[in-house]
Amino acid sequence: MQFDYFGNQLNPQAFSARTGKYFNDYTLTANQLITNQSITLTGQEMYFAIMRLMSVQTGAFRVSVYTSTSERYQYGTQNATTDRVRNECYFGTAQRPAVLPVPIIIPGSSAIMMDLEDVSGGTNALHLVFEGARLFPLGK
Amino acid sequence: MSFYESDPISDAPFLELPSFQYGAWGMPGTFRRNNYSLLEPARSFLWQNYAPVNWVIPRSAVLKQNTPAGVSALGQIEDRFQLPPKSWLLAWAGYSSNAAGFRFSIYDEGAQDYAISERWQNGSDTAVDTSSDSGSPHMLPEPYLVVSPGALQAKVVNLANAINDFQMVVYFAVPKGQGYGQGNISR
Repeated sequence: MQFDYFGNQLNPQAFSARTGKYFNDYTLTANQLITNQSITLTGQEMYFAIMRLMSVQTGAFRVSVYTSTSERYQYGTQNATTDRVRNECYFGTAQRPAVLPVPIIIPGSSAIMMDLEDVSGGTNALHLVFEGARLFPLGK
Repeated sequence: MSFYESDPISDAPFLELPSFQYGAWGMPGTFRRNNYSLLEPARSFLWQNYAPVNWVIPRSAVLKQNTPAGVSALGQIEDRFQLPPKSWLLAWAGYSSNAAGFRFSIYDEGAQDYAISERWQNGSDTAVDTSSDSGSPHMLPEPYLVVSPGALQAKVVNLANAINDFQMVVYFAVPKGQGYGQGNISR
């Protein structure tokens, strides 16, 4: 069984799933750290399940992904941290985009949040894609 | 009956990515599918009551203690992580900026044994090298159930005789309702 953030059971059989993507572009200056970057969902779906992460970038970067539901998914040691990880680990490569073994399921009214840090030492243009399933209640 | 033998399939093919699949699409004469996804172990967790938890080793704050950022030449970093009961280790991903790579081990205190295997390497000179298979995640063939009390120890060793910026992420499925998946940032 699947529960949402409010403790309600989320039954996938009660939803129709449609694949969808959310994406955005960012530009970092050399070694710049920008926090609280958001991609707001359209809100049409009841939930969005993030399943795959893809990126195109001109240089390496570190990233921390969290959501506006105040949930973090990366932990550096005991207790939550705001730690960032290399893009190769979290967004994969062109040949093998990253797949989240357990999808991040967030309400359609929320946003995907990111802290981004350039580690290339130069201007860095990022195109980040979050692919997954938009869950609509059956009959909608 | 497996997902691939069901007709019609029982769920949308969320885990069917060509880059994670192998095998022929059909058996001659039978039309039976013989194609499998390396992501298959994740299917049991797809819509279940688990939250994603990803352990980052080493922390970027540790890497930044050196200039340039990275682990010291031939240096070793240790870390520890506590998980709720009935958590599963599903996969890991690694990256090394130096071709020499790094070795790592994850020890399960409850089991008194190594969780993934004795040692793995993201580098260039052993049979368990994974650096040529860059990308993420490397799925375990079978998810590993972390033994109570859920305490894991990790060691990562820089194999380069120079500062090496490397990191890895270990992916867990953690039962919801124990501080994860509840929208609670402070746990």
